[in-house]
Amino acid sequence: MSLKLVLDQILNGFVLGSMYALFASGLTLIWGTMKMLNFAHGEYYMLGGYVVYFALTLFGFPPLLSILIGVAGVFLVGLATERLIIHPLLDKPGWEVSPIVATLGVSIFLQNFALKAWGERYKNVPYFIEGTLDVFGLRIAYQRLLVLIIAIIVIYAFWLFIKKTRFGMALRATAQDREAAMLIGINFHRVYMITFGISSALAALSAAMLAPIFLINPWMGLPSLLKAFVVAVLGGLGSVEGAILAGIVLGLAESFAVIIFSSEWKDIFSFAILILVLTTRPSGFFGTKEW
Amino acid sequence: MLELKEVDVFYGDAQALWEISFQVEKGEIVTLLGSNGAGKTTTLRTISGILLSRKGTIHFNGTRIDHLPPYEIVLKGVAHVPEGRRLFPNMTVFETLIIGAYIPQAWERRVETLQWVFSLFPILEERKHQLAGTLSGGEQQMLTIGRGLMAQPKFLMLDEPSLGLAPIIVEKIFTTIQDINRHGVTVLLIEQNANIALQIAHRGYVLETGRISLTGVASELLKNDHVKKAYLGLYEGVE
Amino acid sequence: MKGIVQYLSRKLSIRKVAIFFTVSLILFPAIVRDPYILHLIILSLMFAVLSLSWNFICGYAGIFTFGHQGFFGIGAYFSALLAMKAGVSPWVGLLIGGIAPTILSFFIGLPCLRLRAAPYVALTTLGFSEIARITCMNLVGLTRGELGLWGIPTLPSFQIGSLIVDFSGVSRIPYYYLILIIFFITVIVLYRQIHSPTGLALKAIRESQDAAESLGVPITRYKLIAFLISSFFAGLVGAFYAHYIVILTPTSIFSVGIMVEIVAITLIGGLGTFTGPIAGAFILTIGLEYLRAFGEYRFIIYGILLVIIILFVPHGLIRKILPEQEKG
Repeated sequence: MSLKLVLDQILNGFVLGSMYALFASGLTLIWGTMKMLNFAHGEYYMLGGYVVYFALTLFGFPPLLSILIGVAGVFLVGLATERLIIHPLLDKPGWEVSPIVATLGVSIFLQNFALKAWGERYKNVPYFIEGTLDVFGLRIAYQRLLVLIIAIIVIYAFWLFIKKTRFGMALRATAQDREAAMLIGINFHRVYMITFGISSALAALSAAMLAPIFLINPWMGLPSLLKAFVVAVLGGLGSVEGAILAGIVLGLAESFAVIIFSSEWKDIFSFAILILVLTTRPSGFFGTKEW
Repeated sequence: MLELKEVDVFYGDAQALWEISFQVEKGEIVTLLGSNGAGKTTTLRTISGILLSRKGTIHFNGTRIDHLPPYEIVLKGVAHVPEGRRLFPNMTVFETLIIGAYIPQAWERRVETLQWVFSLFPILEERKHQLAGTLSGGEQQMLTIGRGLMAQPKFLMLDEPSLGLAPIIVEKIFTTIQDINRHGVTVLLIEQNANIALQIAHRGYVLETGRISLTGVASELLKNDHVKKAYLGLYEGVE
Repeated sequence: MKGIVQYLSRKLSIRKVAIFFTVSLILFPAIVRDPYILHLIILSLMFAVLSLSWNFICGYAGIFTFGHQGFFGIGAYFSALLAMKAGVSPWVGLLIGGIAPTILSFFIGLPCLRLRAAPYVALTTLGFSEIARITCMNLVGLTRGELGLWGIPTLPSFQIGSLIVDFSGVSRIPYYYLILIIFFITVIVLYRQIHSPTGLALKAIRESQDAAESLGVPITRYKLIAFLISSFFAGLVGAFYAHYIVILTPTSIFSVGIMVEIVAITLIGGLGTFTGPIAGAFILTIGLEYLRAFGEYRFIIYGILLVIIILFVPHGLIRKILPEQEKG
């Protein structure tokens, strides 16, 4: 194993892992705040990918604008989903499980809508920046570097948002004690709606970043959802910091696993890690007692 | 300032409050006494909007507030400090207080309000970067009250602030409640500890199994036989 | 709409419906010969067994697993491989198809015992199912990997008196009655379990594990029992399916889509009710077939319908239509 290969894999791991981190943060955010799982999370990822694709290729918008449109568009879809579908189920009997069917329905709808509207052929999203950087004999595609930089910025901004802003603190308060949050004047319905939107937007952003590296197709949602699930649980459901850490760890682990094992067994690898962690430390990295 | 008229509250099919009527005038400290299960917390939760009343009306400063969602009631200037010190376990003292000023009108003035709360409870300033879950019982109670104050309420409702606390701390907290009242905040105080409640209150009501059974000026209630037997005897010299 | 529901509730009783349903199922092939329709009912019965067994562990024991398709697939592959490689009679294969996953579920259940919140158990069980899938895909020498197994032996025919029961012919009727028998066995066994001390213990664990523990209920034992029983029936149906459809691929049999279907069926029927999964299985399976008329829009409409249905009956259909009889 040459140094070059190792460094290459580390970079890959970080790029992949940071996107896992963002994507999984959205999922864990919804769980932490609303105690529900969004089964359509993968489809928001898929939608984001498609919107960026069309913005770039059909409308010819520049990459930055395309990404913005993708993120904003899916943000709105997330808001609408919460308001129209999740909100009516809230606090009604069966609330522990009814959102599962609801989001499954949304997932099936979106997947097949994409299939019908955009066809089954995998789509190639063009790189945002062409070219490679030559560093110590190591060739790094600018695209990957860009993804990494954006990832760091977004993760940091997101973390700041959750920790320091008025809404971020309201979100955390609602997640930790909804009734007490109500008593300081927080309208938790609005918090839920915006949380859903943010979560979807994060999914879309990670798709926008990863799309040029992988391909776009209507079924990319499910495997991504499973991955996000593993990352979120590994980090401790409900903990954004955990999801970020776990995403990067998993990204790195997978990159190295591909070298050691073959790629067919790679997916078993992440599940095996998951089962191992959950058996020894059921609350994940930063999970709270309630696991 | 606050007026309840013949309020009925149910938990599912079980009735908890029967035709509750009482008022609190501006500037007063009024206490609602009663033993466990009498319905004191239920009353507060109905006023703050968490529970819905089935009959009757609740007016605050002339406007009806029953059936308003809790966040709108807070906007009107009502703060409910819940029983059992409902804190946000993973937020620091500082964060808890800051988010207490969530509503827009309080948010602008949060820095000043924070200073005021720290002046009332200096220990909170000392511990401001500690997680709320790691504070002692008394400090947690102070934090809960402080959080309620950050919303700059005109009307403060306190649910059993003395519960589970040592007498010295209880005294300190109740003295502070008086300070807050002198600052212009009307107070509705729910307590099992009738002794200390009646010492700082102007007037009181007694709630027994969901009904108001007695009312009067605090000094009268202190001398009332029934009150003495049922609520004062339990607490004399104990704690 | 509400009037219809109320009218139905008053006129129906679980007993009457159950008797009517059972009799209809038994007599059905005498009236309807169309193999396509028989196939639909066979599928519905299969999903009914899958959902009933999942409902047992999720709705009654309160353990939200997401790897039921794993037991289904393991049962299928065990029986198929034993028949193809070792010449084991598929009748025995059926049994082994049920037992093999049961044994495995013991080891899968062990790590799940410590986990309380639903997503953790769901993910762990999903993990095991995915491991099973990928293993089947990669052990190409044994399973032919993605190409799958073709030409799995059908159940051998037998003769009772002058009646010849032929599984290798064109008629689906023998399979129909076989799955019907499996279905009835499942119903009877699960019903008795639920109304036994085991069922009571599981209910206690579901409602409050801590309280049950403090009352001395052996949580571990009952949770494992739930795993064992629910996985047995899933595997049994899997084995049946292998000899019915005679073709198996890892992607199709270990598909998460099957799990999704089971979840949708059970939740829409009513999680924790007894008849809910049965109703859901028939409604969704037949309904999905009906939607074929919409061609490419089939699944788009299916997704929309799932959302609409759950918005109307968040706690399940059975609880809405027969509220008195069905208390979880």
